[in-house]
Amino acid sequence: MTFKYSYLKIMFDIVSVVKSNFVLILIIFVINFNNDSTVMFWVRIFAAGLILIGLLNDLVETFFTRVEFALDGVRVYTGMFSKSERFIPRDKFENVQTEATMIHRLFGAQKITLETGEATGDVTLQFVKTGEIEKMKAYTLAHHHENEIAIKQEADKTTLFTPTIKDILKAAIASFSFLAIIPIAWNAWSDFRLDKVVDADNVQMPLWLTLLLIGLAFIAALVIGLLKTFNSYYKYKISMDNERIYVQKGWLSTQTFSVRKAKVQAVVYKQSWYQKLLRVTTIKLISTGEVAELKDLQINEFFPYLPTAKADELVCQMLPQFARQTMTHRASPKAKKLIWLRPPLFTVFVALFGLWHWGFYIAAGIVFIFTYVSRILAYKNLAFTFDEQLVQARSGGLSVETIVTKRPRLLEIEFTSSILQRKVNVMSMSFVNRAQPVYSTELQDIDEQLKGELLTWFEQRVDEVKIDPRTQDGALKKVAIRNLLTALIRKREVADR
Amino acid sequence: MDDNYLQISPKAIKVRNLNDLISSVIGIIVFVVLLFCTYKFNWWSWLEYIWIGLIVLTIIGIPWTYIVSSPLFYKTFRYKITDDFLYIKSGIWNLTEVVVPMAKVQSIELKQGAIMRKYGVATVRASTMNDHQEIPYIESEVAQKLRDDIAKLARLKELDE
Repeated sequence: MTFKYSYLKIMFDIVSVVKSNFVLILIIFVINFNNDSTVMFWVRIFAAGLILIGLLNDLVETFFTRVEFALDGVRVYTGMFSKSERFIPRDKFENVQTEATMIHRLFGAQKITLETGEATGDVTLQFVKTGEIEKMKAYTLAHHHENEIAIKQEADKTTLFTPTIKDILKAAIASFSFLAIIPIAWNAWSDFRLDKVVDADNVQMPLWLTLLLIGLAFIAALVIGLLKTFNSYYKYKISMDNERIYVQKGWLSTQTFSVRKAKVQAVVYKQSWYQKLLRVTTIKLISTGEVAELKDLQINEFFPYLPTAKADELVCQMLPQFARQTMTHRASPKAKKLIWLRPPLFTVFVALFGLWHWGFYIAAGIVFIFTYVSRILAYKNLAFTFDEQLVQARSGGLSVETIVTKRPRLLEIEFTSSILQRKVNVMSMSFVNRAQPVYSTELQDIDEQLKGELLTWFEQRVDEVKIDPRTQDGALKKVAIRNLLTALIRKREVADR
Repeated sequence: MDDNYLQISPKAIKVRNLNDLISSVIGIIVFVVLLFCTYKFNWWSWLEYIWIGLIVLTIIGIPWTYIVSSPLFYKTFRYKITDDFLYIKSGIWNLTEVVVPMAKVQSIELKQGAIMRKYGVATVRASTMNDHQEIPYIESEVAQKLRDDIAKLARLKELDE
């Protein structure tokens, strides 16, 4: 299968450019239509030039991109004058993400990203017809590794979660999306100031009008917040089959994402203080794929306002090996003193600015309270378990995070202790999970006596992991000899001709 | 300390001191030039205090390195490699102890600057996906052997990564 962009993409690009530069175009070409000054002339030329260059780039991309989906892998050809060719072996592909903005949907197309473990290997195509998307998904997801069970029943995707209206309403509150009204209302207010409309400086605004305006703003805030949340989560769906987990998101503009279960390195349960009040939890999957790239979308975080019980149930269904359990260890009681002994450096830093303006003393006071509240909470929240089955650690002050992972998944462990910590015989331990970028977890102030136990525990990982036979000595030699032989045979073939 | 751990070369103290001396001298020269420029071109006058402060700090830093930090660095740095793990202990005030599984080591590198070459010591750097671990100032021959050993051990990769 060979893919080339449809010429419709030209239309799509033009619409996209107009949309993303809408405000600029409005200001320069419409609002200042009668402005004939030299400065305006050059600004117009400059802006038009920038937009044109962008469009030309898009044109080159449209005409000169060719992607071949062969049996062994994907070849991507790009460029007009300086051509480049890229080859990605088929079994490198891990995930597929798609995204359809409103403009995409207007043209019946989507943006697709075929993800590999490494960021440089990803293939992103801006504008692909929905029919072709399905083919690419099938191509990428159907590859089978030699050692894994290749038999995959199609269409036995089970839907695990779709939010109810109640969930979405909770999300609307918890996401603070209604605060979006503030900049909008502020702009509207400064543009259509009432005193301008009424045209009198000394006419007081009647009380009923003030109340009406505030009421209107309040309703508008609710509506906008709800719309935003509904747009994100109304059609939200988490589903899975034997091999993968799929997330579908969005109503007016849509995104999909899938991750291979075997590639999940860890599951993180996050709960901020207001999520705690609402009894909801965010689940995040740490995987090797380059998901972090889409940070504004946060799609590797599941529906952020899952009721906590539901969140646990979901993980049990999707990845039972990463389910939360009760933890055996806590922060060392000896560390209680450290809450008060550690100097509040940031508070002092802020207070120093008080010499310049007294307002900073108040700020320092707030920082002081905040520091100690989160220290106490952090001490209380800390808990962990390390055993053969799982590694589980809870940390954080105001927002709490629980990570569940496996011993073979850890890249390294590290013990640190400051002078203060050594005085009371405690230490910190941190461990690192593979992800893009790596995901590091720190446990502060645990008992120093645990060090030996933890070290032995980590050293015992060798009983658990299996060494890839392809990297073992004999195997390497065999591969080397085989490569040498094929090279020789090829050389002879060339010589024979 | 655990007796299985190895120490770095005692030459570390000298090399570290010399390195520090050279960078301190360069630093002082730069700050003096900046101080001169501040006078000459009428830059903000408070800048003078900053340059003078930096010069004083750098000068104090030299005996500090010679008497305190280098000997302590040599005394506290320990490393150990086994078939499966790389262990590094270091730190004077804040102690750290890192354990890295060999299979997670991605590449290995031998580094040697001009002064280090003169004294016949080298640094071995093992990079993992996360960051890198360095074993600095060890005898060149030891370093080469260490590099080969780690390279051999790190070649084994785990399934299911």
